[in-house]
Amino acid sequence: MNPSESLWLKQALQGDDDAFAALVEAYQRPVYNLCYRMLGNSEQEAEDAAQETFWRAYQALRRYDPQRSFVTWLLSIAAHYCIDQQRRRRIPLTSIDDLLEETLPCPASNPETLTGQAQEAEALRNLLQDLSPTDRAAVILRYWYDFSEEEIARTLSLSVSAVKSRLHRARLTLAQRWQATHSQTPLVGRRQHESPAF
Amino acid sequence: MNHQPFETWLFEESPQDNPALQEHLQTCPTCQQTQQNWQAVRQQMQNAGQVAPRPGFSARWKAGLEQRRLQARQRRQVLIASLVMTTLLITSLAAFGLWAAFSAPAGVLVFLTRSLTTLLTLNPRDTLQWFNTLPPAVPLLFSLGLVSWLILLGLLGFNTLRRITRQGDERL
Repeated sequence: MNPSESLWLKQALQGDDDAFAALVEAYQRPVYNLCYRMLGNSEQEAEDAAQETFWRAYQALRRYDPQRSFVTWLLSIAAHYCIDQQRRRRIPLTSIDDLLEETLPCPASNPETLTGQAQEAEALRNLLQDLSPTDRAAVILRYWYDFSEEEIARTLSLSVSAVKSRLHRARLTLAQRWQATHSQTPLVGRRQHESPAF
Repeated sequence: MNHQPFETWLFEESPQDNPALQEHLQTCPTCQQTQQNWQAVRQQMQNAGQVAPRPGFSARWKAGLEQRRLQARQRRQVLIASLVMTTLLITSLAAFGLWAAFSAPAGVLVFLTRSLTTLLTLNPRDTLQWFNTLPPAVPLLFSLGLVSWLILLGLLGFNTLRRITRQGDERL
């Protein structure tokens, strides 16, 4: 945490809402990204979850231990909230707006690149959706935030051995799921109705 | 076929540095396939990067904060009002129960019928008469309930004032 962030934290603890808003500004991206990946790439749900995370952090600020990293604490709140949401929901939902945003090309971008990006985003979303909420959180923290197994354990309130076993199971599931998806996909270079190459 | 411990080693950070695994991969197409799949997944995750929210996130958070505070205040008011109402109801029922316990059953029945008739007719003279017919224990219990309620409300008010004052001190 840099000195200005320590100062904002101190001021926020004294009841300064502007200081807390500065912390929101500084950490919005990692918190939002975690919610976005956890909740199946839905922008509106990720926004709501990230806002809720900062509200919960604001309410619990007095319980924050300054010895701990502030962003890790925020991500812990976000992960627990998203896990709860996923357990309640079970069925993944995607809003029509999000689907349109993912599929409609932006005039400024190259349409082919954008379609490829949207497909990749969708493929990644599908892969992660196959994991249990806690396993998904562990994978996201490991590969998007470079958290160690100990940090993941602290963030998700699990033991290190539980994190290791969850990560192993999740990696294996992702690899198997990847193979299942790609063995069904026809070869990219071949057109429909085209005769197979001998 | 059991692919352990190779399957575990496949997912480690540097599987290429493990000679035993590399040797196994030469002869095991299943583990080879798993390794390729996992590398493809990792590549996909690396390419995805971090997603940022729409601009104005912190401004929306500040606006939301005001709204949440208002809602929290309203919830507190509703809670206090329902607490007051519930305690009033319980005190009244307890007072009536006490009085009924010390009276004859016929007397209670007569009292209830008379009260109901008086309330339905809403005649001021009858209402005054109804007050005169009340047993001496009822006004006493009513007064006790009222006093205890005033004390409780006073304590709640004092606590609210203390919290507001403390909040103000902390903001200085």
